[in-house]
Amino acid sequence: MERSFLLWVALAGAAAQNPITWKIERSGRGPVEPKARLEVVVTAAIEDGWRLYSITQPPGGPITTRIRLLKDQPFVQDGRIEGQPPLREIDRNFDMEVEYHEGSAAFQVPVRVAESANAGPENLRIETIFQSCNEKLCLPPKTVRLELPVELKK
Amino acid sequence: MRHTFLPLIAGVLVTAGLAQEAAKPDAPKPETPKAETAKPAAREMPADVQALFDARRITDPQKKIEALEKVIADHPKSTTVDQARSEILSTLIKASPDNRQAIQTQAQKMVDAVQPADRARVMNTVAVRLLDSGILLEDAERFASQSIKLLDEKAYVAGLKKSAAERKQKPPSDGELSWRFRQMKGGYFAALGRIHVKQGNDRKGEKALKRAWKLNSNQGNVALVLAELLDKKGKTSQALDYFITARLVGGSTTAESARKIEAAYRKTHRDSVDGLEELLDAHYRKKFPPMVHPDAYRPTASRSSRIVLAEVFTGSGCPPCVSADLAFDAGLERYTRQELAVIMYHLHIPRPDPMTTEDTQSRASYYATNGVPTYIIDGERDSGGGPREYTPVTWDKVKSKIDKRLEAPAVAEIALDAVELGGKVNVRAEARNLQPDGKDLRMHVVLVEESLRYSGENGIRFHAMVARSIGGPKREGFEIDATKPAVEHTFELAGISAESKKHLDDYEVNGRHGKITFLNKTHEADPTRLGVVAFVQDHKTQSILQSRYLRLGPAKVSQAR
Repeated sequence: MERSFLLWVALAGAAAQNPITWKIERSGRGPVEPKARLEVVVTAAIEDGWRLYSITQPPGGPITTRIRLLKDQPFVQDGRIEGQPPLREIDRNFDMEVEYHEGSAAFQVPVRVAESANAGPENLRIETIFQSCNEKLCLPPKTVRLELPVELKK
Repeated sequence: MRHTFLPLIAGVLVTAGLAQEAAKPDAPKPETPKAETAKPAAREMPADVQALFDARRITDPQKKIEALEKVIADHPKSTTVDQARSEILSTLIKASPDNRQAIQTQAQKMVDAVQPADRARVMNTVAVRLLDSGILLEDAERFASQSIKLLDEKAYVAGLKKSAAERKQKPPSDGELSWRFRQMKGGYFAALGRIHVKQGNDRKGEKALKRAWKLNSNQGNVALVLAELLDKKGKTSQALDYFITARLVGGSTTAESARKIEAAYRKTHRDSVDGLEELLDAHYRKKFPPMVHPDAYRPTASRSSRIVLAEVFTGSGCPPCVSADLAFDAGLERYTRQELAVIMYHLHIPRPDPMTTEDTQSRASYYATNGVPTYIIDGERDSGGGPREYTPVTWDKVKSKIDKRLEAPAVAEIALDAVELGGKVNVRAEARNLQPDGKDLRMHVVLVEESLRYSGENGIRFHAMVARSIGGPKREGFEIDATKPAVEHTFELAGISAESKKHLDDYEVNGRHGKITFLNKTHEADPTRLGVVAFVQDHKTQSILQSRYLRLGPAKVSQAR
């Protein structure tokens, strides 16, 4: 994948534990055509000892990670969001097998330029909502907004 | 040159993010973009994962299957192979559910392709996939049965140890591995049981589900299916037992399951729900006897006049909070209220918690508490817990800290008076023996409910010393000094209840967890179980000078001096 833009995002709070950081990137370079499809990948970097729960979970398991496009922007989601294959393990916290990621996790977000979009510079805005626990501690659900500048052609 | 303005955007967001976080700890936390070098970089998208993603996007089933086959051929040793095979099976099930032969062939391929050690897991996966799709249930049953037969504890343990070594992690203990094996086996029996039930063979289903239950009696979903089976057979009393257990282990916290429990209870109790909560209490106490049996504290020669304050941040949907909650329950048993005062502040972490209030969140913000469980003993922070079995470990840590603090001199004394009358709790707290030059001192008064009953997702049912309201401007206590050592505050119970309900109502719609519904909003405090904790804190250093607890008696003045 050829990457045109890269933006690192970390969470706020000097005293806070922020074991998961995110980045967003897309394939291709330069301005994009009207109604074009973008291959967007959102990636989480996960610190050692922490887990990011996957975007699918069996009932009764941890809250799933959610990734979605924000409203009111010239981009729309164009298909199912796919996640890197998760690890599966019995989790003592939940007394069941849960799906999670360690180290890093990539999620592919299919995006299309909306028909109503105007030409010019725009920001693709994606939100990830996730929680993270380790064996001893649970962190609050966090919402991270990612932005990716995209130039739209006439 | 578009890259060049990104740091500028980042800078703006940093400022906004920190301001919002300080104001409201559970509010959405805007991101703080940092320089690319500030954090370790995530790995780039591996080629095998990219190929899998590309294949998944294909809409034509046949072409999609071909692309997935190519992923497998091109990356035979990749971890994506399992998923690609699974995706082929899903595609076949979805596109041609009547093509029994193709589905069977693919299912068998998935099984044959993996190492013998992985075969049981894959068979179970296939069985569950067929079950969830409601097709080929005979094949599902065959795979589920075979997966159980193939389970081998020795091989399982060896596999997990090898996996830990490959990830350069310390392997879990043998006891832990054995426990995990039982959990897994329980899950496999649960799948078999559900398949039998779906086939209409309730007898076999019940048998398999009971095996599952024996292996892991914390599977709330298994208890629910068993309850429904028994209810169907007219064994309402047995069904009720399973419904109750499902609720108590945290696997049944939906409104629908609550209705089922009530319906089963009504059938056996003259169409009334009177006594249901008491029955749940009794079952809870039987199923979860105390994990520790603390001895009463015996003051040493160094015992000071200090009453230790433990402030605990917890969540009813937080699995590792269980051992911390139970450890402080043990603390309340070991120490008198002349030795230890406890305040439990509930937070919506990691799940929504109906005991959370604006006040508890405000206190978390003061301490910059980020995760649960976090406990702050006389201003000294520690965190971390675990499941119920870890209670002795957490308790030892907590006990040692409290014992030590009981020998630290109190820097002040507190006289506390309170009266509850007509829905109002009037409190007067006076600090004594304050140093004349003491600065930044605050007298805090916190209304707590001594015992509150609520079964959340982590299974804890009885919640002690739940913070209901915090007095003082901005919930930050009252400024005091040696010349102005006394404060008065009135807790208006109806107002506190209304504010708590407003917070929960709002959280159901606008909270961090999306749209949710609390099964039970615990906003109304029981006026017969209230107490007041008063403590003097240095607002800047967070150190605690002294604390005091007072249990309220109705309509009479209570005093603690």
